[in-house]
Amino acid sequence: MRNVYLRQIVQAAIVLLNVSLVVFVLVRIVPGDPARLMLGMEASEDAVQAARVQFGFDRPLYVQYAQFVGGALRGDLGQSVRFRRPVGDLLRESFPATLELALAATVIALILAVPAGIYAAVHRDGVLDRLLMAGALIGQAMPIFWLGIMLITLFSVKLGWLPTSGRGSLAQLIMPSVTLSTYVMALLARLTRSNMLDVLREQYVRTARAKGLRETVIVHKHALMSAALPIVTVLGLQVGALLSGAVVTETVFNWPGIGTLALRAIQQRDYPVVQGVVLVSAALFVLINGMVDLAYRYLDPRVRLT
Amino acid sequence: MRQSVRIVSFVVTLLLSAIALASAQTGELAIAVATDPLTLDPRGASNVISWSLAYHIADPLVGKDKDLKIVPLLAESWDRPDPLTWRFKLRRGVKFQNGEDVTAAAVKATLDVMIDPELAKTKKIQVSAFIRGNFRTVERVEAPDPYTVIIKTKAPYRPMLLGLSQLGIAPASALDAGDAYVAHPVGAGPYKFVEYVPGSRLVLEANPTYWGAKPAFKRVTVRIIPENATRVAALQTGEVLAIYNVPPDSIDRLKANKDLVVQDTLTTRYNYLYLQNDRPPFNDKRVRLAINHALDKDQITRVIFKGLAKPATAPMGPATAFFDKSLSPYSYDVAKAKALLTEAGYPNGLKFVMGTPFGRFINDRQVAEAVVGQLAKAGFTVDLRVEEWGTSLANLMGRKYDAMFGAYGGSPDPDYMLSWLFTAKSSVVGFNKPEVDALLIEGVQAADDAAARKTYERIQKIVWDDAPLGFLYFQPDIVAYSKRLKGFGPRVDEYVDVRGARVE
Amino acid sequence: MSPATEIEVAGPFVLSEARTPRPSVFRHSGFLFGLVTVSVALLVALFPHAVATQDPLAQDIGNRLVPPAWMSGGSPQWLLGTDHLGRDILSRVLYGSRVSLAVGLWSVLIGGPVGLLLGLVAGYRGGAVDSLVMRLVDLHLAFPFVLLAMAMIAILGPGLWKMVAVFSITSWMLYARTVRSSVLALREREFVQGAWALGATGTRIVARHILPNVVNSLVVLLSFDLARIILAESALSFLGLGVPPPTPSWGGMLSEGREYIEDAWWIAAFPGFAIMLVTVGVSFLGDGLRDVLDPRFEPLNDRTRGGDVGTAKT
Repeated sequence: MRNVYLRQIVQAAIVLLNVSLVVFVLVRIVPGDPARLMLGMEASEDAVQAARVQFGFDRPLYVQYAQFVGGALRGDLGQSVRFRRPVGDLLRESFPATLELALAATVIALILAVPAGIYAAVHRDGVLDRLLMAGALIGQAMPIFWLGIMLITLFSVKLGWLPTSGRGSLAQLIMPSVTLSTYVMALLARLTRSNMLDVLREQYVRTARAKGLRETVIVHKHALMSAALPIVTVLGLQVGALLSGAVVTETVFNWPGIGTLALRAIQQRDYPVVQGVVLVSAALFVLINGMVDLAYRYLDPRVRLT
Repeated sequence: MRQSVRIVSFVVTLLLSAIALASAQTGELAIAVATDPLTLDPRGASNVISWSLAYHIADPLVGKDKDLKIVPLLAESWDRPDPLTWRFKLRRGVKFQNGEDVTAAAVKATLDVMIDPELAKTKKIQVSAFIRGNFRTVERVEAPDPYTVIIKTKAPYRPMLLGLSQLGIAPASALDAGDAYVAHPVGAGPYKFVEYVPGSRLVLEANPTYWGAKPAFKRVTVRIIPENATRVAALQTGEVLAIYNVPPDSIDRLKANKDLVVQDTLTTRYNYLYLQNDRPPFNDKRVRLAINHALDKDQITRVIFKGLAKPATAPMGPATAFFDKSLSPYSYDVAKAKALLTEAGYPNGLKFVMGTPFGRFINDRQVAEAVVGQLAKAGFTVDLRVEEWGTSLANLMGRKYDAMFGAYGGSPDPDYMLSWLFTAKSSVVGFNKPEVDALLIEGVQAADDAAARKTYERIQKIVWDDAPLGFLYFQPDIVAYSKRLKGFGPRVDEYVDVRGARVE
Repeated sequence: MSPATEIEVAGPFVLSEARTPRPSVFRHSGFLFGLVTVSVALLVALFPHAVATQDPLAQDIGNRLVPPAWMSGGSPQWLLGTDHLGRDILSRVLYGSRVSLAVGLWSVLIGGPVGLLLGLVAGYRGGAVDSLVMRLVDLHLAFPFVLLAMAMIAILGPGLWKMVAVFSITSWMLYARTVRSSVLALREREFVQGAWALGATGTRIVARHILPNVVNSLVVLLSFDLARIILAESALSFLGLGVPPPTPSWGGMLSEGREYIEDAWWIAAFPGFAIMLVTVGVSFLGDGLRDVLDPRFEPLNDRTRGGDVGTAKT
């Protein structure tokens, strides 16, 4: 088992290295002088030269890359051009907001999707099943920024129940997290239903002799546990969808998270920040993927024995 | 069903108002602005939002009241012993928020950075190009004793006080503090800097040791909401008590709300298209005239601004001193525009690139898009580049595009309004008329108002006739706020100002 | 390859119902709906001038913010109303389909074959190509897609073909991995072993025995991925990183309409509906295609680890 862990870590490190390389290259293929691009057209030639030295643009590319990676390992992701503060600080400030949003969205998705999926599976082909699954399909097809705008129109503007934007109070968290949860909720609902159907069928065949309600309850409990495992792994992987969704959700609701940070950095050509955000997000992904993988191996008895 | 919705809605609104009321009574004020100040360092503030917010943190030597009259702040009194010398007596016993004394040394340090680009570079301080222009005639600053500041100019400079009113004074230690000061600016104003989350909010808290009138609020939160609809909604839900940059389309709806007040005023600002005068195609005056005749200013002011803006008739806003009332706008005449283009050698029309910021000026992107449509009718094909404010500003200074939608304003001083764009050395449109350079110098040195008026009217006429810009309209400052907010309103210089406000 | 990653591979829409005999009526109506929607969308995208009543770029400031025809103040001249510059919403929605469908289809048409080729080689030959492909696939998993797309567009600049490039580059790995899994599975099957035993060359085996089976599942995957790309394109346009104005795009219209949501909700509402309609249509189409082409496509039911078992059910 330890070999497996080791292999995972090595693989993760390689992937991250690759990511850093891609990010590094991306930022540097911008045509033009990177120092001037960062400081803008109005900066004086001296300031540009100073920046060139400061950021190391005058060094050969491999040296720059080494500097970048070395710095990143130490936690130094460079300096934001626009805000003149360390990128790491900006990330640290924005990250909790995105985390809060993602967690809230996940909780909402779980609370609503799993029972819905179970119910749909148990009452297969019933009216509610069809409705729920149709709703899930639409939920996966809906552009969440559109949903967010519509929610603001209804609950803030027309009804005045909820604040329109920003972060701080619980009321401000409701609409953004509901919006963000949509896709994952739809996916989870369908997944739960599908898994439940499979599991139910298996158990059902084996316990063809329905011994009464008690059996059914046990069946349901077991079914639930078996169905839960893939849900956990899927959730881990939906971090990708959540982060992608967070970018647009944060924009719609003026939520000061990583998504807003990244978007503004892109609009402002603040490349160190863009680099930092992509790198950290990738690291996060690799970490979560790795954990999910290991958790899966550990939890699934069939797999553990392989 | 609808009845219950209404009841619930009413109750919830009541609750929310109660919460808002409660926070007001605990001394908190929340307002919303559209533009990111980018910095709160009084020396680096590059737009009205930032220097008016910096103004709450750092008192300048003198300020402007709502009628734009000069009032003493850190300077208790002043005189002008000779045309080249300004002498200020500082108020005694005033301290900066970090405990340092407000002395002439601090004033000198702040001003030195503005007048000496080498010093600014060495100390790594980013200085605002606009405010720096106010001090271009300053030769040196002397601090003979801790409470006297003497500013010596190379030539007589009338608008010195107006110029100083835009510059908050930083403590002497700020000179060497570099980025640390920018991250946490300190001054001698009524409010202390607490935090600034770019793109999100600025938080200030009352300065208990302020020398002047006690600040009315314990805490002021300035929320930055560039999206018009969100900002308006924030006011309607009571999240903020006042908003700036009210989109004209929302005015009727806001006025229908009995708890809100909407006010507007014409300002010192005028909006236009920057045209690069020293390179093709706009180096040909005929092309510039064609642009001016192709712009339907009436449609923009009447329809997009609901009549609150007025077609521009001068290269500065009507609230600026010595505004020339006699000029008239370029007529909207598509045929004439086409004829001019043909004469200039573009019978089949002309293509160029135009940039515009979004979220900086009211309806900026919308007007730029409308302008593109209007120019198309005269044969201009415009490639429009929409950029966020910071990038747009950088591209403006770097003169990247052939044309750019923009505006200028913020001071009633005609020199401030005219010199930046129309002095050959600093012009970002390549405007170069030695005659105007000379007249501008004459203007700041003028002995009295009558002489100044004559000079500035001449400048306006020359500039207007030369059409170096695509003149558009005078922009109003439109604010909306809760009835409970007193001592608040739009300012002719567009300052965001809650220094005199209070909640009842 | 963990089974969980299979879900990622297959995209969001592929939740297999194949083992559950679906009432045929439901299946047919869904597929029919999808087919009709996509066909109409394609036709509109190809010939918008046939349906649109106005020039989508023509401004008419005097008639800005006109409500849809059925509301008071509306006019039959602008069935869905006008936007803040007086442009006809219906025409803009119709023309906007071009951007969404062009980006989606081209991305899939370019990324698909690339993924197919590399997946085939990686799966059948193994070796260096296989390692390289898997490395890239891992990379793809690691990247927060939207951020990467945003960063690339920011650096390369906006534009339709740049978006196609970004989407193709970030998607082909997904396709390659699916193809590779299929190939790996099929490689061990009897009929392939048989052909090999009879002396068929690698290329022939691939072409005649493996390719047809693989293509089917790829086509299904592509159709689901088309939906994802259309959504992603509209998100990028919404963020201002899509096709630059004044070209109408659904995401862009949503972004513009956001300003006027209180006074002119129609500017944002209709493009949003369009996006949803097309996306749902495409996924129903994918559902139907799967039933026809590859009913055994059941990634979720493969719970064994090891990855090489592949996606086709044996």
